[in-house]
Parts: sequence; C-alpha cells; structure tokens
Amino acid sequence: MARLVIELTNRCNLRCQHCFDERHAATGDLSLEIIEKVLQEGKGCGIDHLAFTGGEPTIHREFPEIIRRVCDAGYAFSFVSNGANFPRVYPLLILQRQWFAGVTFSLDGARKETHNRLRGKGSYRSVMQAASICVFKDIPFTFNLVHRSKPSRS
Amino acid sequence: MPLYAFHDLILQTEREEQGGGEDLARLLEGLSWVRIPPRTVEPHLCLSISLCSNGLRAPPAARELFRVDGFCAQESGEDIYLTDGSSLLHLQPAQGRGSAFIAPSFFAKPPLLQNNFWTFGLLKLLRPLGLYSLHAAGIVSNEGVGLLIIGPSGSGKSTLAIGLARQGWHYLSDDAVLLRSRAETIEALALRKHFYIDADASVSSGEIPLGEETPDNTGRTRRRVCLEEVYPAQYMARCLPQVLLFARIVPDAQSTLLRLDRVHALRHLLASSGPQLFDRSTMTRHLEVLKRLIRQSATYELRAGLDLYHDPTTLIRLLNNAEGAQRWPAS
Repeated sequence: MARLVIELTNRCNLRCQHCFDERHAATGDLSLEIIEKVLQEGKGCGIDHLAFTGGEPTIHREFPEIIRRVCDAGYAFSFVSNGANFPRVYPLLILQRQWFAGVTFSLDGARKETHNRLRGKGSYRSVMQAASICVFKDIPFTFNLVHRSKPSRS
Repeated sequence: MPLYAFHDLILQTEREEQGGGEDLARLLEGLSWVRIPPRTVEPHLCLSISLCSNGLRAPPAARELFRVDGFCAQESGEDIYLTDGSSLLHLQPAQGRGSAFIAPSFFAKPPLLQNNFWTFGLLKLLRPLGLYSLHAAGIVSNEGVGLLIIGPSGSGKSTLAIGLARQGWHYLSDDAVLLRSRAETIEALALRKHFYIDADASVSSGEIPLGEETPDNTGRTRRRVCLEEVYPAQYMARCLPQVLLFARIVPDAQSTLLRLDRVHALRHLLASSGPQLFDRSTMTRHLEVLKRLIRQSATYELRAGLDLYHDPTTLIRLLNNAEGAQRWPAS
C-alpha cells in the first residue's frame, strides 16, 4: 500500500522568508468534493495513507470534517504543520488516534532567533508549544529540519 | 594518564606531551571534574589532549551546525568538530571519545569562554550516557527540597542562588545542571563549580570573596563568585528537583509566583535545553527526561521584581504562599 500527499490549501498563517510569494496571494482550499473522490478511489489505487501538506493544512476551513471523513473511510493520515494552529487541532488527533500516524513540525533552527528570522516573530514559541502538547498527550511527532548553508535570505 | 571523576563517571585523559597541563587541570576542576588517584577501571569517556593544534581543521566535507561564543560546530557523519579558529575539539560521542588540539592562544581567552568551549564538548560526550544539560541554577532548601531556577542569561538565576545560599540553602550550580533518569525520579547534577554574576551587581555580595572579571558571550562583564570558599559545606553535588521556577525580570516593585501548566513549562524547558536537544540520536530520551522532570515537580513562573533583587528571601515567602506548596516540605 502507498501514501498519497495532498496539498490541502494554498493558504498559510505564517509568512516565511523562503516560501513562494505567489502562495501568499492564493486563497484556495481543496474542495470537499475532490477529497471525497480521492477517498472513494484511493483504496483501489493501492493507497492507504494520506499525508496532508499546504500551505498550512490545519487552516483548511473544513479540516475537522476532512479528518472525520478520512478516518471513516479507513485511511491512516499524517500532516506537516508549522504548529501555530496546533492548540486548536490536537483534540481531533486524540479522537482519531487509531488512524493518526503523526505530525511533522517544520523547524528552521535550534534557536529561537534563527527560526523566527525565517518564519516570523512568535513562530518558535508556537512550534515548541505544539511539541510540548504532543509530549504530554502522547501524540506522535517529528521535527523536519532543512539544512541550509546560510540562515536567511539577505 | 590522569583520571577525573565527574559524579560517578570516570574520565581518562591522555596527554601527548608534557608541560602546560596546569591550565587544563584548572579548567576541568572548574567544571566539577575531580582528579582521582590512578586505578584499574574502565573509563566512561576518553579524552586525548594535545597542546599543539598544528592548524588542524575539520574535514572539508563537514557541515556547519552553528556558531556561538566565537566558536563553530561542524558535523561529519557521527563526528562533531568544534573550533575557535585555532584550537580544535574532535568528538566521537557514540564511542565516548574526544581529541582536543589546544593552541596556546586558547588559554588567553576569557575564562568564561574557555569554559563554554570545553563544556560544550563534554556535554556532547555525556549525552549518549543519558546526561542532558539544562540552563538552570540548582539550589536546595533547608528542608531538602530541590529547586531549579530556569531562565535566560540575565534573568537573575545566579543572584537568587547566591542570595539563598547566604540564608543557609544548599547550592549545585548557578547556570547549568545536568539531568539524568534514575529508577523512579529525575535527578539534577551540579555541572560547574564557580558562580558568575553581573559585575555591577557584585558590590552586594557582602562577605563572599570575588574572583576575576570576565566578559561573557553577550558582551557584559561577569565576575566570578567564590561561593565554595565561604560556604563549602553547603555545596551539593546532586538533588531531587521538586520545584521548577521559570524566572523573568519584570519592572515591578513586587515579585509574583504564578502556577504554570505543564505544557507551558515544557515549552520553557525546551528553550532552555540548548541546541543539543535537537540531537537526532538522543532527542527522544531527552524529551522523556524533561517530561518526567515536570511530572515530579511543581512548576511556576517567577516574575522577579525589585523586592527580590534587594532581598532574595522574598522567594521563600512566595514559595510558602504558592498554590501547590503542600507538595513539598515547608521551607
């Protein structure tokens, strides 16, 4: 069985230096109709795991509904997140623990200064808060770090 | 081949030439490593030291991890290289081995920066042994309650720890402790012998002798405080932390102590654990230690006002009146 990566939305709640400028102008959330079609046809194509990315996938206007449908249809799921919306999202993950494979938090530096320089003020605090919630709620998580030769665009 | 003990760990040092070892011995002893007589024992860590750097560098393929305090850390496979441009520390944490190539210019650096360079290397070697550093002052009340005061440089950790030592409290370290897991609990170990306080604040240290002034990594001048000379009996090598205080200075007349939930407490602990937290091979175990530390402790945010600056015993009153104070013996 295979994993399908779905870009749920172009929208994001951060304005990171390295991200595509055109993404910030976009308004699109993937429609529930398309997601429903994927859920119906995915198993037949050998897919059993949906990995959501974005934008920031958790700010899709129908994110709770999508998670509910994904689990009802019997798919495992995971997503990448900047962590800023995590305090509002994590109860969903606990409810669907059986289907939830893990969240990957994007981290751009071990230090607040490095991470915030790329992702904006308060973003390090948000991602550490999200990781802290995971530790105490036993929610599986990883950090995704991109190694770069220079810490910021200058 | 001199042996040093650090708590119950044994460090074996190998010297490649004679002479010039006094500076090095002083450095290690300042980090709470105690010279011990020769014995037949399998060391936990081996460090070979050469007082000649010969322009050694990390391999060209090594990737830069970070730069801090005027030194640069690089990684190549599982090996870590730390250099200030002239001296080099080559660490193989998985093997418990390190090789230091120290240039004469190293000992001309401010003591606090020498200390930081060396400490970084030792902390890296200690992680596979299950010891994780935390930027915190460690003190123990008269009733034996361990407190960790956690906060960035300049948040008043040392001043508070010294103030309470003058009231008879025991002390471990003023700036960093090591955490490790025991069967039932997480214990904190002292890491550094000397305390360093803001040079401007040193006038209020009373009867405590002061050591040399030294610049720190933020450009401020710090002054060494020789606490062990006046209160040798109050030094404690380890404690069981039961209270975690996350300190920050506020421009208020009165200090306040507010209960902090465990998620916020962990977020602060992550920020105070340094870049080494993100070490791939040890991060999961490190997080587990932090989680258990919070579970065994009462956690508070300490908003330190002017009253605490003038009278550190204010903290004792705040602790006694704090929500959840029944969890530890009255101090």
